Amino acid sequence: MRDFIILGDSTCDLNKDLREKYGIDYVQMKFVLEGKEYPASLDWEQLSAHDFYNAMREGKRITTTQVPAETFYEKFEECAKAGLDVVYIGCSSALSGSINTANVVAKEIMEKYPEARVLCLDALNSSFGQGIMLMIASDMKKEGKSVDEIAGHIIKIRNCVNQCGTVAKLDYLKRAGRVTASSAFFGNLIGIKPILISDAKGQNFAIKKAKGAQNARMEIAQHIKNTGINLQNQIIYISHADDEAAAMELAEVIKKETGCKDVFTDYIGPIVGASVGPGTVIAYCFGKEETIIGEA
Amino acid sequence: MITTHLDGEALKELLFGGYLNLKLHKKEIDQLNVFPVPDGDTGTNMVMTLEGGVESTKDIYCDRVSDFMSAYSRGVLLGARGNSGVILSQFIKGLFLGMEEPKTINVDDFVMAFKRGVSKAYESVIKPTEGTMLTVMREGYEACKNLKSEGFEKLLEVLVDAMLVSLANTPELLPVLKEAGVVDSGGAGFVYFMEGVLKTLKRESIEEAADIGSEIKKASAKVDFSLFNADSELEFGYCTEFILQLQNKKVDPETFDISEIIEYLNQVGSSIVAVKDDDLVKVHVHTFTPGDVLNFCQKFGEYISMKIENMALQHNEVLKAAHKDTAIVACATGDGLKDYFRSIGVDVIIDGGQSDNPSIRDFINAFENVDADTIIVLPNNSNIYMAAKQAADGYTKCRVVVVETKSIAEGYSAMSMIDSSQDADSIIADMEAAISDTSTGMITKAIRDASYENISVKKGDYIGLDKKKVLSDSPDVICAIRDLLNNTEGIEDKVVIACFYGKDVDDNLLKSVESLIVTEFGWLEYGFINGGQEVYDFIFAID
Repeated sequence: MRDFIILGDSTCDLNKDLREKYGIDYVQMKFVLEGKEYPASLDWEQLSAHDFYNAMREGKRITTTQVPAETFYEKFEECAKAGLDVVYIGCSSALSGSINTANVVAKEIMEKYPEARVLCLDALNSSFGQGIMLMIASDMKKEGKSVDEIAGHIIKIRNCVNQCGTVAKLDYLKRAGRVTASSAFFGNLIGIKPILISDAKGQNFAIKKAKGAQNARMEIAQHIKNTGINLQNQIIYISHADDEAAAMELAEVIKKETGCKDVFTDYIGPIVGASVGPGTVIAYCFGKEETIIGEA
Repeated sequence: MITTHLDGEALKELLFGGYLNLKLHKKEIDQLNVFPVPDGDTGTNMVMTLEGGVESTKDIYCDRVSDFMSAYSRGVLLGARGNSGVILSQFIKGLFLGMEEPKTINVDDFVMAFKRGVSKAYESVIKPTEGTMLTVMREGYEACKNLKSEGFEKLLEVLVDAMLVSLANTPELLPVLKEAGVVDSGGAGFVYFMEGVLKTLKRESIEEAADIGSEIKKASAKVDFSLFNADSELEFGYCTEFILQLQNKKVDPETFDISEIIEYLNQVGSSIVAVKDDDLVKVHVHTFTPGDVLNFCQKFGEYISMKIENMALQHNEVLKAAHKDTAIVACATGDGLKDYFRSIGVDVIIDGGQSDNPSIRDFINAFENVDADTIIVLPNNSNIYMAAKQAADGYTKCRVVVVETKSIAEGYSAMSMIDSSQDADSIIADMEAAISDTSTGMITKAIRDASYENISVKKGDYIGLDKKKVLSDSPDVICAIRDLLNNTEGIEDKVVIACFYGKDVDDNLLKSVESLIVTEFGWLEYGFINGGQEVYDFIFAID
């Protein structure tokens, strides 16, 4: 059996430690701030996370670009030449075009290198929702599972990764076109937090509102409790957009409400961050299959 | 000033005012008359009937209500003419029976007597028909039977408003009215009568009552002039109709060939109907240039009558806002508040608040302006709830539900928590849940010295109120706000405060209020919205 790599992208939000621990590589998207293009690094080399989110707080617009075809081509060809297959678990197709690009490039590579296999899987999630699946794929690889077994499993579980979070302002997501919500969620509503899930198609969907951050955290914890399965054995992943205090408080509430095994918190990377905006906190767990499809 | 009691002379003056107002609109009521037979005399009959009462009492001095009513009701009975007159006289008889004893009457006495009048009126008809004067008086009574008001002004306003709604609804109950496109003539007469009573009480001259006439006409015609404004484009042209008298000095009426007119109309219009009957020509055409049509046709004769209507207004049913499952109608004053409520999803704003309560008619007009399966009404003031409820209950074209928001703060809270993509019942449930957690705080200036429980208020001080009670008083606005918030029940468990500031609040004051909230109520998430409202410098929605 040929060896293979597990590949993510800039929306998987796995930090360097986790990537090294699980042997996960990632391809980079890009973002543009004040006319300057930056590689969307999950290690924040050129611009610190805090500076990045502060720029957004100051009202500076950050735009993002998907993984360029060229980047995929180089990566896939490099692997093919080295005799490695690829399992790429990409950002939800509802949020990024990267997975489509990857599929197109993968076909070309497989024609050029008939022995190579490049499997591109739509995570239908982003941030830790995607990251968790990469870690699972990595564990399966360690257990000696094949690329097909891994792909099959990922497809099976991708709607069972439950996301629930809240944003400080829905405007960022709206401007980025990355949310489904009725107009009632927009407008200048003071202290009203939309509760967002990732729907069955991988789009962010506002399911309800909560008054104040505290109630929002409770709603999120309750959602995790209601959708999660076997929570006492799970690590709940919480990502945040430069609001560590909120993430810690959410972690406490979730621990208390769900009795989960542990929590892990970290930053939301630049690509997801540019869409959701500073102040966002999102929790992820494994649980019931998501069947809701948001319509607005 | 509030009128709490009426003696015989006062009641006489009021009922005479009612008579005068009815008389003023006699012709109009005659023209409405289609039921039971279109003989066009309802107005005349009702006026003659009441005249009997006037004649029998105008020269006697009546201190006691009972003395006056005894003579008056007898006079009315003797003067009664026609069906509507008899019903009216029996109503007056019942009114008298309800006032047999007292020297003076208060509001409650009047309501009881009115009830008696309604029963008497129903008894006078062998087969009572709904959609007539009977319905109008009964629904008027129902609207005020539980009214806790000390003043006749309020009572009569509620009564007349409710009767106007009832009147507007008569075509729904009586098909013959609907076919004719009119409201019930007897009902209209009765409304004019009571309206005259109200106007006299409020010392308004009866000539002004012509305004009510136009309201009643509106109730049957319902032309929405807002559909064509200064910025509108003429999209549909004018519906133009006329009757032309062909004239010997211009053409030979007998041999005149109407195809000459039709040919011309074909060039300038559509939907053409043109017929010649002897020496008359009747034309109907839709055209953008009615003036040209009239000039052209004047070559053949002179006009008997004409009617030209902008079809944008005629098309109002078609051009109305798109159909919605649920529409929201809310009351607010202040440009900022109105814009803000629109921005968070209110479909129609009714201008009105604490010192300027909207009428039932205002609500009905607002309902007419939306096309929805369910209309949710947010009165946003406890004084407005009643009118909203009555308008809602009397409205038959769709379901109307009033969510009892007692303040702007509650209205905001209700709107803030809904998801408008949900069905009406979920939205209503969400609104009700939201307002149950909301505390209202308002800051205004005291207009006189007063004392409330433990707080003594000095004129000119800033006072803090919740929906009902005074919670703070201070010459300093910041102190008044601090005390108001501290005295707000459960403030320590609240999480969010939305601050709507009024038109007289400047930036410096806003900064001070912000710093107060940050330093002393730091656990609250807060935000400021320019409400632009009068009276209240601040309205706080505290959740």
